[in-house]
Amino acid sequence: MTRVFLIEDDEQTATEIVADMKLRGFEIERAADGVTGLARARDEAWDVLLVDRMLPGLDGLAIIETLRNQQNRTPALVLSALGGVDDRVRGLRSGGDDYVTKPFALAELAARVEALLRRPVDTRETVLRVGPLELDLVARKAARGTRALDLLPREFKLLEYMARREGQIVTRAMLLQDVWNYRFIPQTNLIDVHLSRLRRKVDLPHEAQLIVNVRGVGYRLNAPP
Amino acid sequence: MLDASSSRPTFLHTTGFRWGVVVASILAIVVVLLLAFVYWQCTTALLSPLDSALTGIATDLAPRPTAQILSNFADHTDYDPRRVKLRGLFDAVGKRIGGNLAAVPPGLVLDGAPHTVEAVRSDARGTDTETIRGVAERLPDGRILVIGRNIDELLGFLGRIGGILLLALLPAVLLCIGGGALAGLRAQRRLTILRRAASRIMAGHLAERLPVHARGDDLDQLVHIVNRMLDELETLVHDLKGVGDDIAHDLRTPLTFVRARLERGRDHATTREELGTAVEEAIAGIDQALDVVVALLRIAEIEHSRRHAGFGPMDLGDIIAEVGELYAPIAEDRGLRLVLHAAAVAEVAQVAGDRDLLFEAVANLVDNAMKFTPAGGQVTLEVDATPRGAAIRVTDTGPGIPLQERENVFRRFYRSDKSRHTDGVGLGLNLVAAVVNLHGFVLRLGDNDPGCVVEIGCWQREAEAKVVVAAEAEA
Repeated sequence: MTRVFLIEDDEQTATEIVADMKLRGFEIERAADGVTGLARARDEAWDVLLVDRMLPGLDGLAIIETLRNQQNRTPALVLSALGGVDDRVRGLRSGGDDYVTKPFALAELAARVEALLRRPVDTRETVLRVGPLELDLVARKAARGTRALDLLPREFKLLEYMARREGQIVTRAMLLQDVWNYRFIPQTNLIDVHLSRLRRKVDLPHEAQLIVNVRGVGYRLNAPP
Repeated sequence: MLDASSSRPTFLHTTGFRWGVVVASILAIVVVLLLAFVYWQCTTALLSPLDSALTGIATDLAPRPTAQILSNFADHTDYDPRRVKLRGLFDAVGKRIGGNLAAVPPGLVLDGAPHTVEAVRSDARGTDTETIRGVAERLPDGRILVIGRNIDELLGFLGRIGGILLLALLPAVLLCIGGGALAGLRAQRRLTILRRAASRIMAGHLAERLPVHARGDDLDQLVHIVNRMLDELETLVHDLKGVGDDIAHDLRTPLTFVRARLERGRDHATTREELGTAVEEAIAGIDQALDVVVALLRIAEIEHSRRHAGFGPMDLGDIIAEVGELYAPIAEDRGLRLVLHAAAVAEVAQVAGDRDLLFEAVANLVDNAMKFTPAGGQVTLEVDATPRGAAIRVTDTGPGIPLQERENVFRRFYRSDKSRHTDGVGLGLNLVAAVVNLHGFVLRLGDNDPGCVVEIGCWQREAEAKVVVAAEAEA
């Protein structure tokens, strides 16, 4: 079972996260302050760390930095009430692997934890395959079975991102951040429109659906059974 | 915070008191100098005719033989009812040859110039000491000639004048103190008025201003500056209050809905599915409320990041191309044409700034334009080279913004009545304004007739120019 360690001082937030992660099948434990947090993060074996940015005793970023200096490479996700760009950069520079800003949806958190647990497929591959889907990363061409897909450059990048995370939920925020490199939330359903166009190209009406909309959370690229 | 009443200075430390003391002192010094001058002038006026008479006599007698001098002495001293004339002729060692002086008055310099000294008269009627004005001269053969006059009477007269002047000094000094007090009180009253006004403002009456005198002195200039500062502050506080109200309103709407939906689900849902639907809808409502919060935080973040360290060269052509790519599918979905124009002059489009933020601003403008433009319409996104510099312009064929509402659209949460039915948090334009403001650029709203033109002028606005919105009527 996947072991998640949460370092979070706010009781209510912590309770919700713990309950939600347990329901999703994770084994989760929690520390309420920075000092115990660091000690337990270092001394026990964890698969993922969820670290609040502002903690009594020891700052969240300092914890991650200390761990990294001690060659501890456990993936770490920073939770923060500060949405500043500087803050995000600092969070990632200190050794954090991802960063979410409060308030966040629990589904978003879960998706990002999944993403951390399953690091994307090795980039040295020149061809990605998901079921009948084949992406040639060198020629930047995609095909479903024998049918070549006519994709715009951005659509190819989008499909590549999803193919590397086969079977994993990717949220709209993740797509916006990683595929488009934007960090703002558009008011219109931008991502949905782009996804539905890609889906129309990838999944023809009579074919099995590869791109699945996960309601209220995001999307997933599935290989058909 | 400072409490105005407890920090009130004691009277001795007030500017008014100090000013009063200074004025009174200056007036007093002037009065004393004036009186001293008068006294000095009186003395000179009284002594100088006497002095010239004495030196005249001495000069006249000096070359004459002893007998003539003594006879002249006698002429004068014999007929002298007021007993004021004093004469003396002495030999080289100071022994009296003739006259009514007992000896050469000690302290009288033998230089032929008049001096005031004590002298001893000695004649048939006796000996007494008097204050005299005297001239003494050593004659060529060594004898000493002394001509003098009693000035007791004159001194008494000068004393009277001095006394009168001293008497005049008392009311004059009183007047000085009065004048000083008046000046001090006036200054103090002005400061008191200012302090009271400031206290009222501090108590929350932000619309009050410090009173200004017509004098235009440096205090008035200071008051002017403070008043201008208060204008700014009032606007800010007003905005803030407006924001508070707006937040309350825009959060209450979804939250009321969420509450109602959950209540309905709890009371009336008969199946698990129905309950599930209620929860789903409630979550959507909460998400809407969260979006408001996130958007607000984002705007606050931009407004408060006064750092320009992240500024670098940006290619405006690149930015609109990217925004165009991002929004092309949306345009297609909604049946709109999205047209891109980039200025022919490439170097004009190179501007210093935060590329990500400007991208976000332009994306918001396009987002907005698409939201309000009905199907079949057109949204144009262009980079134009104007005489003042490069400008990004977003034009739509939507309902446009009425002239009287143009100022308002940049207020947080404002949505024109025409668009109340359209989704959206209503913060997009505020974010644009915040980004433009951070760069010191110029934002203008115009009329496309029909539709709306929003222009970001990528040049520095004048420091005094209105912060962002230059809502203007098309000429």
